[in-house]
Amino acid sequence: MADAFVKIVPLICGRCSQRMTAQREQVVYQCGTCGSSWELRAGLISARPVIHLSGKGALLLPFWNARFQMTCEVGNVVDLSGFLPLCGSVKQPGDKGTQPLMLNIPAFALPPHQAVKLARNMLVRFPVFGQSRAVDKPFEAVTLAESDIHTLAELIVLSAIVEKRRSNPNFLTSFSVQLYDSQLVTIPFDRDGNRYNQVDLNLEV
Amino acid sequence: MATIVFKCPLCGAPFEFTEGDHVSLCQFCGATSAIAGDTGIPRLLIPERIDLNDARAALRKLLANEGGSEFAASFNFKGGTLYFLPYWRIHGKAIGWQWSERETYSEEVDYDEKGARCTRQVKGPNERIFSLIAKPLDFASPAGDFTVFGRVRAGLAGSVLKCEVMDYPSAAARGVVVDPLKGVAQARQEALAMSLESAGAEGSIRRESRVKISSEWLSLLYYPVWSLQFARGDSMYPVVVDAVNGEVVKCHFPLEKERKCFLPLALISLILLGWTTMPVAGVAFTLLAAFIFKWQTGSLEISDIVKLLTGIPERGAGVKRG
Amino acid sequence: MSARCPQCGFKADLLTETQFHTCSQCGAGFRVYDGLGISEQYIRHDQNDAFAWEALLGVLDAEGCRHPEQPGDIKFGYHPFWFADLSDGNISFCPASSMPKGFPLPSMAPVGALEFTSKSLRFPQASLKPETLMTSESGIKRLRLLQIPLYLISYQVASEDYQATVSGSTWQTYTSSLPKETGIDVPLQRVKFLGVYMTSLFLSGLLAPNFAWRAVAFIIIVTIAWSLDRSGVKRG
Repeated sequence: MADAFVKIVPLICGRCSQRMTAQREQVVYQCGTCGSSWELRAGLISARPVIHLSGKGALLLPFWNARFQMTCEVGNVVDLSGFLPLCGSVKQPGDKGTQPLMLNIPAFALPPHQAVKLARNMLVRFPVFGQSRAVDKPFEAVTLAESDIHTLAELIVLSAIVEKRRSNPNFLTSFSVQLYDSQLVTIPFDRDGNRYNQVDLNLEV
Repeated sequence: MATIVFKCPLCGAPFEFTEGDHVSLCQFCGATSAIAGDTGIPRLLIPERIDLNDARAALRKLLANEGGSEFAASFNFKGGTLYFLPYWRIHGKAIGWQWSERETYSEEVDYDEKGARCTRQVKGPNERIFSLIAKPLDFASPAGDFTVFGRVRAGLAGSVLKCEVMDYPSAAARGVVVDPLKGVAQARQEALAMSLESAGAEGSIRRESRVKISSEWLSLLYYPVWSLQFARGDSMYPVVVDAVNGEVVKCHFPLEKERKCFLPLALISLILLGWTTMPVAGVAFTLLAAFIFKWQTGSLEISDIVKLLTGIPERGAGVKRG
Repeated sequence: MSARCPQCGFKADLLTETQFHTCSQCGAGFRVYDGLGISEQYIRHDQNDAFAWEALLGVLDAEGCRHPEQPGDIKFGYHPFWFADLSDGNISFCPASSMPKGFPLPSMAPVGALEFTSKSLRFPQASLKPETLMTSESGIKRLRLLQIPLYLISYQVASEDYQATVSGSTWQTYTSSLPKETGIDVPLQRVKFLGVYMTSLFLSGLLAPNFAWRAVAFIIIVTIAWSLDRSGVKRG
């Protein structure tokens, strides 16, 4: 009997040794005392750096931010100038053409369909954010683990490529997405009842 | 989703959490703890709620209800063993896409040479459907071939009942802890196939899909069942009783109905009464006997007549489950 | 010769040519077939021929088959089977030794608690090689030899031979063909009873002077015969 066990790890901040609290499905924990962020890695509480992006809004929503490359029938797609034509976009990337492809996958609790929609909108609008100076601000609970972003990433990229995916099954079978340098970021949103708004990006969830 | 009970690492009190949770709160000391499940596959067990006597009683009750108390009393209890059957439990999200191509037809109204109106089907362009799949997955699959135990509803029970961490020596002392022989890869395939099935692509001529399990919580859940043996004469009948709710999951006890013994004797005497009186009466009484036989038994077949005369018991469906 | 431990994967140089080895790394016992380290497991079982026979009769009864007139010939023994976890996630199960002809085989490993065999326990050896039996295209990830307790029963019904296999772990019965549905076996006792009954009716019918006497005599005989029948004459 090759037994393996579940390990129960008490949530104690690695910086200030205070007890942390978290919601049921949370995977990144924030210390209420010192504001640092932690996650479980190989059964141990380890630090998880969070980058806060600047913008208008009081509510910080967490996203997994990652560079990506795409492989499909036409070969490797590595930048916006290759990606926009696949999306059927007539928008000219201009000097942003050589910019690497970026994904922002919602890491907070959101039904998968909405998460895909939001990330897709952010992908095709290729926003550029500045980094906020403020550190360790409280943000919404992270419920999507870093190990699960890849499955969602493929779906998000596919949802942006409308025409190809519908007409050409060979495109779909040869399609894959590779992610690089994933990091946890927060993007400021405004709360309006049950909705979240991002004025700079003209986004609504 | 199952509720699982561990010990709080800080105060040692029972620490409950729900399958799929990453974090839970100790009800006793109030400390929050994270649940690291990625170090291996947790083995959980639903403890048996009924003992051997209850399992026997459940079967006796079923036999008495469906076959009568005399029928129930005709079976002797021979023995019973508790089995813990392993099930793979997969909990998470099915994420991916499905592409399907379907033929379309439309009806066109036309008029033939005589001017009569007719409709014909015209093939239209193929319809291509792309759908994104993103839905919760809660799946249980037997980790072996358990057909001998019938349909045990472990998945359902595992979703609502409290599970314990498998304590192998204690479980093995109470019953047979069955080893899983089916791999988790097969269970995953089944879970994904199920999520695709419910995504609906009926009647498609071509289909492509890629679905993966995300945020997966995997566990091996042991479910208790009683395997009992009952005997009548020199035949033994296996019985499977769910050790959680006492439901008889599988059994087959053929019922043997005693034939009515008055009817054949009376019919013989009626026929002979006729024939020993006069031939016409013989023919009349034989026809009357045939009519009564048909009316009473519903058949006039030779084999049925012989069976009735010789008193061979009639076989009924009996009591059957599974 | 060297072989890999099936438990921990440690590659050990085997100095002896014996079949049983103990891993120097994890201490697991394993067998070696053709240079391949294989764990051997068995289902513990106490032989009980009477139970196996009754299990078979129960199946025959449930299926409405004719029962054998005489007890069958029961042979109990452990039989080796190959059990492979394939690299595509599927599993494969097949006999590792040739079984006596005609006996049906379990198509899947019977349910039970598997224990590792040890040197002190004697089990039959595998005579069939796994490579020739595994036709699957995907490779074998883990191979095991399972020793399964089986009762091989041959019995006769209406002078025809039948074979059945009963698994010792769950009393599951495997059959390839079953005797036909219960024929009409008329008990001699019953024939005698009916003979006496009909003769007495016939004689009293002939001897009775008129219909009324005949009817009265018949009612008396039917009543006597019925009460005898109910008290169990037909059962002897």
